[in-house]
Amino acid sequence: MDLGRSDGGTPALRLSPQSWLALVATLFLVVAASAVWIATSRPWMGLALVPSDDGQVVIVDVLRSDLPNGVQTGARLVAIATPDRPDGLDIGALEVIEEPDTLDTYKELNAFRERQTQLDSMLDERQIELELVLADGSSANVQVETLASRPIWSLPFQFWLQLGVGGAGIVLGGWVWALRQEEASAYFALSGFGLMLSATSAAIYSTRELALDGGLFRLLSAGNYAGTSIFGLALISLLLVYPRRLAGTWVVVGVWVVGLGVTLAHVLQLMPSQAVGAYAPMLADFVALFGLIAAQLVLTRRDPLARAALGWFGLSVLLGTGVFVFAIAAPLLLGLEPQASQASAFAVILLIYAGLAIGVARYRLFDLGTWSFRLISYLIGAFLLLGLDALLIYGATIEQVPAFGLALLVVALGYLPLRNMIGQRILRRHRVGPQNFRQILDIALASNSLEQSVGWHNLLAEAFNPLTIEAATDGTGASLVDAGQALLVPACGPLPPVLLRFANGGRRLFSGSDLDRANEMIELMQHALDSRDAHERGVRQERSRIARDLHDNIGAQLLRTLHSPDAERKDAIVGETLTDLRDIIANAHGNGIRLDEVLAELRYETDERLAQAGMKLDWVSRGDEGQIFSARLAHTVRSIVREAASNAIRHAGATRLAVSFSAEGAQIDLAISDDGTGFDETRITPGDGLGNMRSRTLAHGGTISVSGNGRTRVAVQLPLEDVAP
Amino acid sequence: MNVETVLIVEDISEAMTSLIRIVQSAFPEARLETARSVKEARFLITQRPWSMALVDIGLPDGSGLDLVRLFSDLAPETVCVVSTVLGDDGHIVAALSAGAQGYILKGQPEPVLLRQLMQIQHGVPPLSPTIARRIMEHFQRTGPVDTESNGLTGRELEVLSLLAKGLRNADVAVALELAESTIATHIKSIYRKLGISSRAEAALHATRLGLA
Repeated sequence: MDLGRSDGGTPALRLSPQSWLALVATLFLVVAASAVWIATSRPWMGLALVPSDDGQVVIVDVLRSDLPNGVQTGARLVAIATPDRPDGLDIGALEVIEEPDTLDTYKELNAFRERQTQLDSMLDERQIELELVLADGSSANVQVETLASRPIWSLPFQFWLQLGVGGAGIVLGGWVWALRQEEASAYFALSGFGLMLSATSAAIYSTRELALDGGLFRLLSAGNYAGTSIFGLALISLLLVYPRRLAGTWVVVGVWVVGLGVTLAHVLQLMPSQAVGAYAPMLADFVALFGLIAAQLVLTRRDPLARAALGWFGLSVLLGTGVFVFAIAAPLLLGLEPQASQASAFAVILLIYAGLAIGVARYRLFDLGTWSFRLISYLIGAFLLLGLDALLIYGATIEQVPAFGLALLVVALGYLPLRNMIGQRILRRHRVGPQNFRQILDIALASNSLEQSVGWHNLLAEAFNPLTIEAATDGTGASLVDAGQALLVPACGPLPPVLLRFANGGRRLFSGSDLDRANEMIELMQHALDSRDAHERGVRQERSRIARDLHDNIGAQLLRTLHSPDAERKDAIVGETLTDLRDIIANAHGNGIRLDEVLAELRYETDERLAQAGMKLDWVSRGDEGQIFSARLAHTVRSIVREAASNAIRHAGATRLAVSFSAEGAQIDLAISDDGTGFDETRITPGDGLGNMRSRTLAHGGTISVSGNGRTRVAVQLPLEDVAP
Repeated sequence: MNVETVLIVEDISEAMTSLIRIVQSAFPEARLETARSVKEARFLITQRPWSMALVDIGLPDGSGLDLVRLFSDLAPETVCVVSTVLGDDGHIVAALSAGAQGYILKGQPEPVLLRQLMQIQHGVPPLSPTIARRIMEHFQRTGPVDTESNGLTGRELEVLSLLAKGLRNADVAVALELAESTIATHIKSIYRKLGISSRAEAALHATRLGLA
């Protein structure tokens, strides 16, 4: 990472956020793997040792089953001897202390390292003699052969905890950096790197079985110390420039020069004492952080959002570092025992990162939106998968392939649902629910635009609880204004565009998920408005279709009735008119009438009428049953059949009527004949039934032939027109 | 069964006159009373046992369907026939579901109405193609509601589908090689099941709405 670059410059290395995260994760995995390799490559007795209150070393656990009887839990390890050093070396509580930094003077520290080197070389000889004092007070000398390396499963929880804290530091720092490459996020990422360096070094030496080579110990201590310094200096630099810039670049550089100088001085043992060298800078860092947070709070007093974000972050920085300082550093400086194990104090530092997560989620700290969680959550899932996999392979000694499958299963069944649940809680992703859906429909169906406008404002207010809703000039699509201070909701049908300022009563900024929600609401609103328009258009079309049908059929028939002198004929036409009226109502959906329905009804009706007159019907029909007729064509066909049936009943003296209907290709063929006496073809007049048949047929562009010679036969051809809507 | 008493419910005077004429020529011995509104009819229903009732669907103070339901609750022995001008098939299926044993379309010539009325009286219920089709659709739609006992049998479905094609009862009987009286029995059974399935459907809806 190019750390020296100035604010607002372009990053030295252009990578996608995923690539950055992958890079950081790989870095961490390499560091973690190295730590595990260093920790496990030491010779191993198979004991868990702790300092006792009386200054001795107690065995609290025996991790090997092949050790002689005397080596048991509760026994005290007093001294170690080897063939090369038969006089042996006494062992005191000091040898197994977690953190030699807690020693008072450099002299003590160097003596400690010297003894560590000796112990380490003795363990390297493999054949050692342990001098023990058993729980009952008796002494025992036992011969033990150390193993060449320490098995990975025997590494204690504290080792993994510190490794995990380091990992969280670098990954979260890398996360912010991956998404926002600015000066402030560079410092944050650097603090994560420092935390990893510090915690990983400590993980190795603080969980050693008994001894590490003094040179390695010194290197790891330096790593731990340098990491802690980088962590503190990076946080100080961060608060020097974020959220408000308090100092110029030179001040920041100066801080680093002084800080790293002190670090170097301590590593070179130039500080007044070991305790002062180790913990005074830490205390100084803490005081500086406290002062900077206070200064930032004062400077951001006119910017409630920045202040709230800083509040979360600052509080967690103070808490995280404060626990470390007050539980470990301060007591040591005062010459007291530390109040907490260093490993667990490291875990407390994770508070900083919890604060960061909340800051990002609620206040878009570092200008990161809630979307940024999606990126990190997958990485955590991947780590969890690897971790479980390793645990199962080494811990439960399961074969590799089933172990991976099992790990995958646990992640899928456990982690992913948990992640989604937490994600939904933290990210507060709002969906447009059924309640909103109803409101949107109500607004779309409201009777006037004022009502719609008021309803829309209420809905937006309910959804986002903004401080103000103002009229706006239109934009294309919903958008965030001033980095989330306002949300522009564009015009939607008759609804004017509005600008919502400050989400949730000013407590947070508008985020990407708000934008999504607004877009969803607008889309739904638009859809509801369109549907309403479509519905109204449909109603208008329907109305005009019914009006046309009424005019063409009912109107014309009533006119015929009015001008018909024959009372019987009037009755017949009125009866038909009622049937047509039924048709118009039944055809209310305007899709036309099914051919088979028209024919079935016509056949039934004709049959009934003929039966009444003691006649028989021979009915044959062919054609596609599902075919659709227009109401007008149906009416014409029906009129012709009725007219013919009426003629046969009244005039022909017939006993049978044959109707043959076919609708094939683009044409209807209709033939109706009876076995009666026929009629005089020269006496057809426009006013009577046959005249009506002819005029209707011609109006449809069809042809008709009527023959009354002998029996009556009517043959009609009608074009199958397109269905009128 | 002898028709001793007939109640005609009709609000249009001319239609009433025509119906009285038809009923008198169909059942010359019967005692005939008329009502012009739902209110009047409600009062008359309880006054005496009715052999037959002709009920108009659209009445000034309510729907004749309510009267049909009242008849099937209070006097199930009454042959209840709905009369309508337009014969909107939705209303007719609703009436049959509510317990009507037949329907007549008032726009038809009087001789046709007379014949239909007498057929209903003789247990031959009318079923026009459109109504048959709607009933089939109804049973298809309410399929899942039906238990085996009130679903249509294969024979009843055959009868319905032939009626829907426009065949008259006699033609259906010929096509299926059955007696015409058997066809009438099938149609009556279909009517009955229509009522049952409608009630089952209504109950189901009520359960869904949390009303029952």
